[in-house]
Amino acid sequence: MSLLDIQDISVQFNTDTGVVYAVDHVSLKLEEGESLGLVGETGAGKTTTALAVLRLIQAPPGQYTSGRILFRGEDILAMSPEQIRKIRGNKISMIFQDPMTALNPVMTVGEQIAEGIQNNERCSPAEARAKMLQMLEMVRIPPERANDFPHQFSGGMKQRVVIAIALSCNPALVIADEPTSALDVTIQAQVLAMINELKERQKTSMILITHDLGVVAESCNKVAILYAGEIVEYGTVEDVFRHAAHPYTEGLFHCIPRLDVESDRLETIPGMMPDPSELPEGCKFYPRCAKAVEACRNGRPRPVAVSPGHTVSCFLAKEDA
Amino acid sequence: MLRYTFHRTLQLIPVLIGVVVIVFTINYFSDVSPANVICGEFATPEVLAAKEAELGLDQPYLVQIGRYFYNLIFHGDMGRSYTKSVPVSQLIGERIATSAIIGLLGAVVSILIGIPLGLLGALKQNSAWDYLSTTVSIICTAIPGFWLALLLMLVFSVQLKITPVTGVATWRGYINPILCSAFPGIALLARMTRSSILENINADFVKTARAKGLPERKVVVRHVVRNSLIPVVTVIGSMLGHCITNGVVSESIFNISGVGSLMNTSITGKDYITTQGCVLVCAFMIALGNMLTDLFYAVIDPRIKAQYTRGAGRPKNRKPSVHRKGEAA
Amino acid sequence: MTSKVKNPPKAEKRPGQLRLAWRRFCRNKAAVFSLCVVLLIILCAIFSDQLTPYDFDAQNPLERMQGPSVAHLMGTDDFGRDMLTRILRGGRVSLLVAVMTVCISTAVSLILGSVAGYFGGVVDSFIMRVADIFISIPGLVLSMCLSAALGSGLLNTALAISVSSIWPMTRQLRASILTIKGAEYLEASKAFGARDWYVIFHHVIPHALAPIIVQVAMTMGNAISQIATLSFLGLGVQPPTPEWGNMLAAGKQYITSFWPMMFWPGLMIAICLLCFNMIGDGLRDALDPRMKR
Repeated sequence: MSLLDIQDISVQFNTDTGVVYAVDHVSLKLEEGESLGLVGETGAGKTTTALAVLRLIQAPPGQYTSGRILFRGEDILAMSPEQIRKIRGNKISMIFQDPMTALNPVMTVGEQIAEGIQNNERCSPAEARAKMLQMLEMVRIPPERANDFPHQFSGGMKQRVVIAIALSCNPALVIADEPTSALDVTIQAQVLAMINELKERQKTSMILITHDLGVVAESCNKVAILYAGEIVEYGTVEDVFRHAAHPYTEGLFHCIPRLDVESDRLETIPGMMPDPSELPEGCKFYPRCAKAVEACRNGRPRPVAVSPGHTVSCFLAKEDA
Repeated sequence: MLRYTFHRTLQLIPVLIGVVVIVFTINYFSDVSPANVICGEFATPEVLAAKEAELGLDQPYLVQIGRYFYNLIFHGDMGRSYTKSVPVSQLIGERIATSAIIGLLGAVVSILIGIPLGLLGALKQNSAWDYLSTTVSIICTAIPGFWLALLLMLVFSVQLKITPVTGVATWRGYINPILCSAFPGIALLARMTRSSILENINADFVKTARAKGLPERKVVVRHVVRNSLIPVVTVIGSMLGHCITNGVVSESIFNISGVGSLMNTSITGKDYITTQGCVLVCAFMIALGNMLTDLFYAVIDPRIKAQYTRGAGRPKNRKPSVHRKGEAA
Repeated sequence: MTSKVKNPPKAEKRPGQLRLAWRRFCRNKAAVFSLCVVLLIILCAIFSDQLTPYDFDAQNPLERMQGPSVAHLMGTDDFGRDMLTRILRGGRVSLLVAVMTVCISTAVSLILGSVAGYFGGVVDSFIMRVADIFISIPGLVLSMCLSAALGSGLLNTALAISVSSIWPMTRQLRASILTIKGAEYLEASKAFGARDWYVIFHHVIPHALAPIIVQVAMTMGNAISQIATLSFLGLGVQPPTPEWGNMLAAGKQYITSFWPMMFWPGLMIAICLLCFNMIGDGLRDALDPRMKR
């Protein structure tokens, strides 16, 4: 049984201006101890997928239209509010994108960490506090700062507090939603290293959402490339990085500037990601695709396995016989 | 914090002086002299002149206002009423308790109804409760105070005969004026609470709290409500400040002898010196209400407290603009 | 490669800001309905003499205090005058004074607010301290004092009410001018070589105007209620002239015997207040899309 098995999940938002198909039939599988990188442009549905796993999508306007999310065999979407609450923080926790807004401005950071511990482990306030101080130490914040408020911390420190909150109950799975994109470049590596280290120490699985392929290569063993709410390529880091089969993935790799090749300008993928409320017919990527053929215009490609465990949603991909 | 409180109290003084100057000036340049009103329509010019001299109204502007300030500051004397020949402070002193009881209980009623109504509207957004909450607040803002007073009188006193038509001889007499002063507050608080909660309920830190696995009740109480309180507190502060002023109309209608009705009779009866005293008291209350609001901010929001203790002065931009709305109402 | 790319950023002619705002406003049914009601009330006030067969001043002692009937839709008052005629006629006074109030206070606060916002420094702090003082005096009390001092009459009443409604608007205007003063997109616009007047007309004024328009709608409602309050208390507009406030005051004496006399004028005031508030809300949502939730 997998730790997390997302089967054919779709999420749509019903807004004033139309229906937005944010996540479109996404399937993912994650085993215990694995790390998965979820890569895509802004608006590709990465955060929505992550929030869907914790059932944190606001409904309305959000709506799950298909699929199941199995956590250790149990369907998260079918759980009672009480059951899902016991999973949040305790079994699955989340590191949010923007540490500036992810902390409650009127509570001390200590309170905010201890609150989750006390709630999930049903322990006394004193025990929770002791554990909280331990967590602060783990993320290298001096314990005497537990009584400070978030506005007294720098961005990097706030993100470390958010990490401490997420890891405080030894969850089986941590979802890190672009944990470093709101931080200074110099702090990014530091925070990322800390996440990796703590993840190793606690034997936690992780879903890392990012648009930085380098980060994925460094800390994940599997990677899923998301485009307009759909997974276009999925496989081990090894497979995807060495044998990228989807034109979009190839394009992403070309966008990384290389020092060994003489070039005047950065490669880009032409055009923009389609508006998720007005998706083109056929393959979502074909308007931007350099290799598009007639078939792309008419039908949605289905995922095909180009090698065991490496699937690509493209008409040009050859199935591994 | 203490230093800030002291600083803030000092700031009251120029405002109050300004208030006195403005009211005094308005009255000084009025086309009808108090003497005309006191002595009646048919008084001879000599009688009028004698009366003016007696009241000191023949003096130049600066002398009059100077004397008023001198007596006020050095003797705490607000002068004697022109028409009742009793010290103004005595007139106000006799009436302020009644006005304060009505105003404060009215504020309590509006807090008890308005805030839960707003909470209900926000937490059950787009449900029947939400529509009820918005409708009530829209109607409460639209009904002018004096019409409300008459409607209450019509329903409770004339038709149902639960409350006396006028006066506060028994506790029942307080019901109508209290309801009357509570109504606008209910609307304001319900609307404020609702929008403030809605602003916070999808904030990132609330998502963090949910992701921690906290029960929804705890998420709402500890994270949403506490952060939503700030603009609501502003409204309450300004309500407390206005609790006496709100009585001007309703006290006159219900024939209650309070500061509000005193102000009304003194304005229409050209008893300027009494008006001035009443306005001074009201302005003091309003300024005090605003000051308490500012101080209370510091208690609930550590960010503001930090600014105060650092001595950075008054954090102007932290104050939600609703404040002004409340004051203007 | 580029041949297959559909290039959406084609410079199509976009409708102007005002038209967009108007479209957003029209989507708000309550606001549009309120606007229609207000227009109807205004039309009725203007053509009040033609709309009913009665003269608003014609007394008829035989038909004193009658309930609503086909002849008198809202009944008659204590002098046997047709209530509907007087209500419509009273709207003329209320709306006229309200419009005067709004014009005076908007004009003055535009000047004060922009002077304070643009020049800053001593001028700014002086104007703002004065505003602080005026705001510390309860609006109704200030209007009452002024009205008592200036005497009755339409213009005097309008003046009395304006003085108290100038200051919140001044503050608002100054605040919006200040926020825009330091905004980066102004710098950006200047960096692209825009002239000062271009910046002012394309960025500063539209930005400052939106809250003012909203404020105008709110002030209209507020002014109508204040006029009525003043007249009700015996200041403001005096009895022979029908006005909702003084009609209410007249009706008050008969609260035990004939309540419709105090009901209709109050209802009209409430409707006007309600409508102007709704219009104000609608305008705010339409003019400031960021505020919309």
